[in-house]
Amino acid sequence: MKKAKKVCLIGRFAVGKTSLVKQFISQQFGEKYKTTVGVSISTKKIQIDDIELSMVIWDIAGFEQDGHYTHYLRGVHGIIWVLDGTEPESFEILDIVSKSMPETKDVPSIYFINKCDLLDEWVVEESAVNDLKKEDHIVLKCSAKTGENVEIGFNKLAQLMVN
Amino acid sequence: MSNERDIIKSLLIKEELELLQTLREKVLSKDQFTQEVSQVLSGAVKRAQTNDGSFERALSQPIQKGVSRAFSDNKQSIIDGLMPIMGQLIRKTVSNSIKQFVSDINRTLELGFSSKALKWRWQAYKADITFAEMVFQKTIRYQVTEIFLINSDNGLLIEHVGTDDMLKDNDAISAMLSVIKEFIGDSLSSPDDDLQSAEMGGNLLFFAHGPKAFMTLVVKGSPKERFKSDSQKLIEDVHAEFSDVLVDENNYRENDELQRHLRSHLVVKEISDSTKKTNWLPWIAGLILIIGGMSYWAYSKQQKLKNITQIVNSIDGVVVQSITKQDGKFLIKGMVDPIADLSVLKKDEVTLETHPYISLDENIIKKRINATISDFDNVSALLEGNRVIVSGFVSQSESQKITNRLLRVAGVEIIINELTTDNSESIKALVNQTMPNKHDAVLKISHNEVSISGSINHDNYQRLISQLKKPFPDITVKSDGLEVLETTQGLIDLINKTTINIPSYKRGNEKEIEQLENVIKSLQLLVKRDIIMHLVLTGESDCQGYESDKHSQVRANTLKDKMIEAGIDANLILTEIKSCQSDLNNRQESLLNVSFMISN
Repeated sequence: MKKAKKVCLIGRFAVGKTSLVKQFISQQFGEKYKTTVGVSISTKKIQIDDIELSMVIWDIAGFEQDGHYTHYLRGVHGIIWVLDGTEPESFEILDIVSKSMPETKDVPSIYFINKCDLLDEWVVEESAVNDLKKEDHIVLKCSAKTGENVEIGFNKLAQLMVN
Repeated sequence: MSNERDIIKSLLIKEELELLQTLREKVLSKDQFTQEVSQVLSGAVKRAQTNDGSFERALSQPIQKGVSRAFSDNKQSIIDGLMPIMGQLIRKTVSNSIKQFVSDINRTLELGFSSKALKWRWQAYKADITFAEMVFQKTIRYQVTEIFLINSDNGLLIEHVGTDDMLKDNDAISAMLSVIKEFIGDSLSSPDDDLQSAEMGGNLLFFAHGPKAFMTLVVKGSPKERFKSDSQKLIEDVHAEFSDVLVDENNYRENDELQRHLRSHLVVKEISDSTKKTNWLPWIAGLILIIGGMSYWAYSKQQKLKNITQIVNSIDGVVVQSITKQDGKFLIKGMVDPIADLSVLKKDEVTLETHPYISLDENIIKKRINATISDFDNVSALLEGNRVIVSGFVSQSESQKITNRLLRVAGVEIIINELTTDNSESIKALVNQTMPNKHDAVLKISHNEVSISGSINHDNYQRLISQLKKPFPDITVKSDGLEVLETTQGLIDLINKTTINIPSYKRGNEKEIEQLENVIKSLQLLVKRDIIMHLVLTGESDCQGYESDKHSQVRANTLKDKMIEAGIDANLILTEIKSCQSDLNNRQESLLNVSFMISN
């Protein structure tokens, strides 16, 4: 059986959304930062039991601009919240988007706390992580650079969307 | 008292009181009352309809207000609901106008009688459409190569049909199309406007929007204006006929009927519109040139093959099995006799793949024979069928050798040996032995022939011939140009024996002249040999008639004069007479002569 699901990455600028997608799609990482303009679409097919799932990944840019992203989140099947472990302000996006689009709370989601390879710059406290986990969210510390937990996270989300 | 009354009440009318209570609750409870009324409402409305229309009149105001309210509060859902119907309504109106317009065009086109027009008329008749519609169809200048049907909310691909196999990731494309639509709409125009088209290179993207899904058509070429309306009609049809499929994500890209419906709208044919007359002349000329060129090429190819076949077949000792063209050359397969002459075949035109064989062509046999006897200069061979006549001069041992060799030549069955043994060496040896000093004689000896020229002593000559004839009886002796010389005594004897009869001493006949010449020659030879002598001429007469001794002298003198004229020294010649015999009574011509005698 073949299925297609829309997955959106939500996160502040420069948290590593594009890098995570690139890591997941092609296992590559670029040191240079290039801001995404608009939306970048990627697809990857993965096998979940007897289902061939095509993940259509929407890498949406610039969540700072209020409201413009709502169109892109319409009909989403899965959300990847991307947070930066070296930038505590990146967690603010959770509230911003939740308030403007409360329906996102019902969408299967996982939380990536990215840049876990930057141990010296890691500032997010374990309590913040635990807070997220308390709400039955799947929270993964990951690294787009090393690939740690990236594929695991995407696969977990796929499982949630199929189930 | 009141308590007792209540007790009595409750005893007497307990059920009624309970019923009343129930009724009160129903009436007072809004929810329950609404429930009760709703159950009878449709029946009540039906009953309320009157013939005078008062009920409808009473309802019209509230309904009008309600619809207006609904429009202002929830415009989109009203539009979404009306959309499938409105389009059809509008089209019906427009269609009638177009029909009229088409009818006018039809009349105009009916006047056309080109071959294309006739063909299209026939096709229109078979398809049961008007000629004008067929014209429209046939003059399509565009192709619809891809159709994407995309969920308007999440951008997921519902269905795709197309001709381009290069489009591998349709999910990504549909998502991007969705993004583009949203992005442009968000950035440039009001939220109610939809992206209609986009152009890139030779491709046009046409967007047709519906409430649940939108369609993107990839078009190559220049579609006519009605294409937009056709596309809009298509999305409306899809919404009307496949509304369940549009919302059921589990069935995306698995609905064959939807696919067929979309595929029927692909336009893959592209026929150029030709309202002008086609100029066929250059095409016909080009076609003729092409056909002519091809014909000539084929003819020349055939001719070349024919020529090479003729050439090869004409070569003795070659058997051709096949001739084909390979890598620009003629490949000849067959058999070739090793001594066949292949020089006429050019190496840059011909490749040979042959096996050797022994040919029995007459010319080949002749070649073979000539090769066999090539060692022998003086031998020649003539082939007649299966017989060879060999002739020439060879030694005895060589004769057998030649015969044996020739018998081994293929095609030769009979040898006729006409070889002659060459005795020239033996003859040379014999001549040298017989005539060690050849003096003035020149001998040429070849094979069985001896040519002698110059001059040779008579005795030597006779001896030589005799010696040669004994061992070589078949020898040929040629003596043209040979002077055989007499001996001295022989010359003397010749002269002394000569008597020239001169009946008429003034004139000499042939015989007399010859005799005299012989005498003169012999005398000259004697003089040459320094033989000292005198020649005595004796004249004679029969003294009959006018004849006398005087005539005898005259005869002798006449011959003497002739001899002197011939160069003989006069001092050598003496004359005398033989006196007449007086007892002769008859004329005796035999006595009318001159005789010769050599004296020292």
